[in-house]
Amino acid sequence: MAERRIGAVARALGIGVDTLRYYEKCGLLPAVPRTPGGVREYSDKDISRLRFIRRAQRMNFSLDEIGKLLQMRENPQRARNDVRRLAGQKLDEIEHSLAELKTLRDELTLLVNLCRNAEEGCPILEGIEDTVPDRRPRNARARD
Amino acid sequence: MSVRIELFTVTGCSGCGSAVRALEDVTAALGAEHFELRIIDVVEEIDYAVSMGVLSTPTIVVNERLIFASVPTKRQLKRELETHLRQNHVEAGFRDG
Repeated sequence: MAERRIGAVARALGIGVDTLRYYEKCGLLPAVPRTPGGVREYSDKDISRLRFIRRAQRMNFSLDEIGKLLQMRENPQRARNDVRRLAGQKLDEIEHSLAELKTLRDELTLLVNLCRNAEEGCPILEGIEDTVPDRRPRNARARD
Repeated sequence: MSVRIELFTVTGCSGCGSAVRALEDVTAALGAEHFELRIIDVVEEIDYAVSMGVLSTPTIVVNERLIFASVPTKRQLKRELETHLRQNHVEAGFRDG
């Protein structure tokens, strides 16, 4: 990333400027070095750490959990037992989510292929019509 | 023990009719009594279809293994089913000692 000031980093990672400042304030990110003019300049390591934080947040990890995982990320060999346990537990959760996502992906692939290859009609739409109740007012349904 | 064949189809599927005919012809030629054929509508049994790895129709699963994800030729089908028949006989032989 060429531009490393807070606005550019915020845009590139899709994080608010205030959120970036907050991560630093709460210790998730070490103090970011400043230029002589007092402007934050993020290093590659900071940006990598921020990407990790965002990914973990998307997996619904709490900031406290993320903080512990970041300690382990800094020094995996010396991680405390509770942090190792947390990392193992989070790994299990991710494996489970991946398996769920794979099943969903396969199901949607099948449905899309069924529509693509159908000679007439689309099984997805027929399936939806069979299962979704008609929620329109009765007088609207009567006009059909 | 019979060879279990599952053909995954759906209404309006262009190759499914050919797959049914190919399966009926080949199993008849090899001895229909050796086979158990089930035709499955994927819309009716979508969870099962996905669990078997079905991503399109027609798909043929033999003894719980996905073998063809399109319409096979009768020759391909015959070769595959003969292999499974042999495997079934070998496994039955082991069981019977």
